Amino acid sequence: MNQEIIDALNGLIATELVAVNQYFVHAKLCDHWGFERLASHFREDSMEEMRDIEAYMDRVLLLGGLPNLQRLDSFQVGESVGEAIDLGIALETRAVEQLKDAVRLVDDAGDVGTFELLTPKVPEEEAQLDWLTTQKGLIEQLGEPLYLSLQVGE
Amino acid sequence: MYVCLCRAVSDTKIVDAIRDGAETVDAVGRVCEAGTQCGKCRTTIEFMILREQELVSLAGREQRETPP
Repeated sequence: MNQEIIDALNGLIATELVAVNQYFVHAKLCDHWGFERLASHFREDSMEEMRDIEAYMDRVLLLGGLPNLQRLDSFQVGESVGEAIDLGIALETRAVEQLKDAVRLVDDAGDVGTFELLTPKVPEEEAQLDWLTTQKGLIEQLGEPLYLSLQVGE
Repeated sequence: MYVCLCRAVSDTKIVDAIRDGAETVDAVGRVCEAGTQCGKCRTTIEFMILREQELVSLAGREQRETPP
């Protein structure tokens, strides 16, 4: 049992738990504000992070550890779409860095199985970060009212 | 944005409390209830207090250094 790898996986789970909750509350807020398109994107992201947690939990169990779902770090909630996107960018930037650190750790430890599990997650998380950054760019280029008008409706 | 989710307190309300003289996390809590329930946001509030104090001292230095 490699405790360092189990701790790293539990660290990833903790970050994903924040992401699940932050994206989900932003999905519900966007829906409440009438921006259904944005809401479904945040909702899908939240579900995706939950699936990641399941995969990490399975791996922790296989390595002989106990998945820790108790740790929920503090996070902030946006009062506007722009804030929700900025908070997503901050969270996802941290998540990508943490994931890369974990990839390096398992690579050095020669844990090929965990390495194979984690590496495909890197471009997935980067794609999420890229989507959020694109939204921020669109708000800047189109102006917030026009951007938001495109988020109304299914 | 909401910093304290338990009491639904936004960053603007917390900054207002700090600018009105709240110098500790507990003092902020007494003014706007932020950080008074689960306490997870207390580190963030502490950071906000330090940032505001830093801004005040920077503004003071700028004023002193600007020639009349």
